[in-house]
Amino acid sequence: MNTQQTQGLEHEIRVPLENDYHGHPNYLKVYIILLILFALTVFASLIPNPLVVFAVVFGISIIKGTMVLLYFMHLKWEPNLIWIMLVLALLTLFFLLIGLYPDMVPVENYLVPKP
Amino acid sequence: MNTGILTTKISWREIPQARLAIWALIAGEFVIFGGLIVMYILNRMKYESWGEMAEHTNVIAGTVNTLVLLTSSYFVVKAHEAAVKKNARAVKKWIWLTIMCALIFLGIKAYEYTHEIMMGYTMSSPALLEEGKHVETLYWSFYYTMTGLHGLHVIAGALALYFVMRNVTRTGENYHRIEVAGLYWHMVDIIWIFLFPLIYLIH
Repeated sequence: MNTQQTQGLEHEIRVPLENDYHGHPNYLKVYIILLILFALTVFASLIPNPLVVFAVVFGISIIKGTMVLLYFMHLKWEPNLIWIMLVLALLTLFFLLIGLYPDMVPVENYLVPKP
Repeated sequence: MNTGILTTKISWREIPQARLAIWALIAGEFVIFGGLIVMYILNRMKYESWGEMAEHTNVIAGTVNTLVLLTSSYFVVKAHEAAVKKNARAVKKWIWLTIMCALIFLGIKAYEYTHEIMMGYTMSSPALLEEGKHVETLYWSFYYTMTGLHGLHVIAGALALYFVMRNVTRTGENYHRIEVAGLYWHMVDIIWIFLFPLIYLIH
């Protein structure tokens, strides 16, 4: 392929920025929801039981993170390839958690007789 | 041969190459920070004394920093919105506000670090080690590793936003780079969304 042809091809495959988008969601609305969830996180930390605090606070964090991904990062409108990349990353973490859990958290070993 | 700006090409599956590349980077970053978070959670389940150590973190500073980063994410999407309209003046305004947020975040973090180090809470705190509290020093190792690595990403994100904004305002081109740098910034925000409750709120 000569230089002229290459340049022509580049011109054709260039992305027109304003046509690349589906539009913008209402960012202010998303931001306000994130602030409300953030306030809920802080209040939830006042619950005396640490296990409940962990469940509630981490749950809210997952919702907040997902909202940023979907609306601020426009993941909602991205093709499947991007979703696959992120799901693979999360699966890696899931397997890491499952794989390391028995080593880190004491689990009673039923195969070894108690002294 | 003039190959043009590679990042404006459409790659496989109709995704602009720059965007595909930054998403691949983000997926990798999620594995790095996610690995640290997973290890933190498992250690936290194993060692109850980590809860006592977490009480020594500055919750107010962490809360303010979370608010600052959430706000900066809003500024970045406004910059992206302005970039799509090719409004360089608005892009400059929103990116500068984001950089201001980054500086506030880093300032507060520096204040926290100073206070914690002065109190003797370090990765190899002699006071804790003398008392045989090796597990407790492990908490501070995780604390400084996770927040320190995140802080480096804040610096990198702020620098990327600055240089991209400078290029856009000087040349009036490459507006798509604002989105790419913005995606990186949002990733920094998401990581903090998970670090904040784990480190500061769960005692």
